[in-house]
Amino acid sequence: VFLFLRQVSVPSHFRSFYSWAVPGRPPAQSARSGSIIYQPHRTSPRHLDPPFPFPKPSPHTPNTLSMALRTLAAKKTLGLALGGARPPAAARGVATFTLPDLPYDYGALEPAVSGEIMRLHHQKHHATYVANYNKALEQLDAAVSKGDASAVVHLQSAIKFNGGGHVNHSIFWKNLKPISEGGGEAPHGKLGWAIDEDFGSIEKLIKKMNAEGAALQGSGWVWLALDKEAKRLSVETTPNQDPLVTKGSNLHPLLGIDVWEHAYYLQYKNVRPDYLTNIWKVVNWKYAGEEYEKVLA
Amino acid sequence: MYAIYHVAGHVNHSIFWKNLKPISEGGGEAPHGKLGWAIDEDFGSIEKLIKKMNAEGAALQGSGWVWLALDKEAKRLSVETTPNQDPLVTKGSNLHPLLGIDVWEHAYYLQYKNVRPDYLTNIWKVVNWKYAGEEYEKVLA
Repeated sequence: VFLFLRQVSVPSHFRSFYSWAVPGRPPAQSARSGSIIYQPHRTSPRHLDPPFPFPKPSPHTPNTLSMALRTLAAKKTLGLALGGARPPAAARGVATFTLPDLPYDYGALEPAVSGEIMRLHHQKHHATYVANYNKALEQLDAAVSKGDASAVVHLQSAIKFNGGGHVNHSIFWKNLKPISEGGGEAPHGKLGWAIDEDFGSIEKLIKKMNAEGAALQGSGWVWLALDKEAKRLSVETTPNQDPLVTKGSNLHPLLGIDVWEHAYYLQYKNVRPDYLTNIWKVVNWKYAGEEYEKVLA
Repeated sequence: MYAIYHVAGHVNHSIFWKNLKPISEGGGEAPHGKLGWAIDEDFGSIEKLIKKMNAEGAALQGSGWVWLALDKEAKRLSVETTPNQDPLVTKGSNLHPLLGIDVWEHAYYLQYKNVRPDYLTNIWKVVNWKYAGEEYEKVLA
């Protein structure tokens, strides 16, 4: 939850109200004993409060900020008066995610991956992860503001699955490239040398990734991972939509291959190994090399 | 451990083929007798049971199965899900599978693409309730 909050650009009115939830804001301390004091935000008597939980500007707030807050307060009151239950997610400072465009046409990876698969994979599967991720984040925001700890915990599964699905597929589209644009061309430079050092050769790396991808039970991903600390490459697998970082907080994904059946079934049927053999023809090693150098810079 | 996955897959699919029946041979016909009464008692109606199994099957993350389970000891029906090829017994040693529906993508993708809920709606047309009823009475005999 707090990782999510840290990444969101939090507007000041949101931050002050939810100060207990946003890391980096220290609680007030008693000058005498040094003990932590919980300070509520009320600076005015109760009967003057607006009809919804929105903080009043303090006497110390600069004029422009207090004007902005009053305007915002008025807007929110209006929203509620018109029957809206809560202001829209974006207005409350909840991040919403969008489906990224593919950097190539759906048919551009043929014959390695069919256009039909790419279209369904992007427009249906990835789009659904994005929609459900946004929905779960909104529900999380509501649960956090209500202080419903049980609901917050219950939502973690939907956030991990759908958020992971969005994260993983966003990387995946960048991991692929049409042959005419360099897809399949072996890595050069620092990544090439690192592969030789850690695996012996690129052929051995591919063989290992294919073996682990084929053996993965159920749905999941096979990754070429860079350990930022150890400065080593490794092959990892994750189940379902678990992102690579669930295998180690220092692991950065250079390449991921989706081995869910939806990634290949329409074209390769049950023969996952054939899909794995062929997808290397359109793997974007240039992206992997750039990520490698960026992370170790 | 790797080999057990394949054994489990064999067990689950062996049940699955018996859970289905062509419409001309009785597939889709609602359960009668003791199983029918037990469904009404534990779920309210067969429609409510199907709705519950479809909801849980659709919501299953990744690959797995959704089951109509009979608890041999408690003598109660329940809806369970298991991931990948885990057999129903991994959810409770007293659980006996009456019906299982495969929700791995390979079970429906060529026909229904990503729309797992449509597959779940339609598969009930060929579910072999007669088998489920016979299992029910056999286990509680």
